[in-house]
Amino acid sequence: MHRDERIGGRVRGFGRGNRDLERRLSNLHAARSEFVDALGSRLSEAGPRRVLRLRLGYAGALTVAMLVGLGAFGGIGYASSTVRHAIHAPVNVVLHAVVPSKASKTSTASVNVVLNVTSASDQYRPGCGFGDKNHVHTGPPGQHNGFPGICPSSAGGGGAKCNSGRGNGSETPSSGTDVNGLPNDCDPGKSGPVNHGGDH
Amino acid sequence: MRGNRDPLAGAEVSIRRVYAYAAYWLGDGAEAEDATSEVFENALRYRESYDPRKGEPIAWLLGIARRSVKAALAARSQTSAEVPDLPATTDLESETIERLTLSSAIATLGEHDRELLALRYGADLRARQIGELLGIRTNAVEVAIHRATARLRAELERQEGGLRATAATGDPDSAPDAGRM
Repeated sequence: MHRDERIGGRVRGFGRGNRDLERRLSNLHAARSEFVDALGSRLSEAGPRRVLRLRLGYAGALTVAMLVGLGAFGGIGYASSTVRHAIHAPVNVVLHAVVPSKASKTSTASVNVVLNVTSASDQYRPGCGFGDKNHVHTGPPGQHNGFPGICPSSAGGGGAKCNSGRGNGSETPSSGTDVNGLPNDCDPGKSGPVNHGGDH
Repeated sequence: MRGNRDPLAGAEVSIRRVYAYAAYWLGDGAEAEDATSEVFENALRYRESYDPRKGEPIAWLLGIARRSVKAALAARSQTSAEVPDLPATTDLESETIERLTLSSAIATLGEHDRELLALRYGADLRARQIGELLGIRTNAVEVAIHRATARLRAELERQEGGLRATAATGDPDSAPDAGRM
């Protein structure tokens, strides 16, 4: 009999015996559990590390891309000036000063002097005598009334130098200053007639 | 970002399937384990090149396994002509004999039949997956597997007949395989 015919006959006759053979073929080779565990743990060790590297690489690339984008449109300079101001403003509020000690004239004491209550009040100082003590002028042009840094005599300040303008934290308070570090003459509550010279 | 699936996810099942495939060609033991390890080392190295559009992870792994097994067989033929196709030692004698009989029957099949049986029953691939891997149509794979199984069954019957004859006469030369090895 021809071989193919014989096989064809057997193919047609496949049944329970064939299923048994399939089962035996499926179970013929099985890997040892120790081998599977060892190789599996080796793969799981290698896998996440690679993913972590990819994630870090991705985060790094994204950061560089963002910095390049910000740098191209001046965002970095803007951000750095904002940070600079944020640091500078509290310095103007509280001034670390060396003042003569009350106990001994030769010794000195280091004190923190509160120049302004808030950083905002440092940047927007009251005018030179303009307005009453309950009415603080908050910005130019009313503050200076055309005389930046010098209080006009009409304001009752007698031409005293005012602590006006921004970033003036280096001034050392003297006996002639008030709690806000301003010359008394410039205190709108202490001197001169009420004279609204500027905008609110 | 990686848009593809990880071909090494659920590695334990894949390891068992790749090992079973390799063992069909190399026999149970160290050689099949070495080949399997090599497959997964390569898979780890080239996992980024895996493209899910081209097939499932197991098919990709078996593509690597086929090359590893080929290389192992080539190395084996250079070093020795022996076929160390012995199953793992077990106390169950009958199971050992059954495995030996089956393995030796498989060894008599042609290369194509062995490959089909290794992929179907060792790696547990479906006919469609085997077709994709070998580049042939699914129904052609089904028919080829049927024929390979039939040939294997015929060989097993022949061997069993020979064993019965040997047991009856007590003459090992009367066995069908006598003088073949």
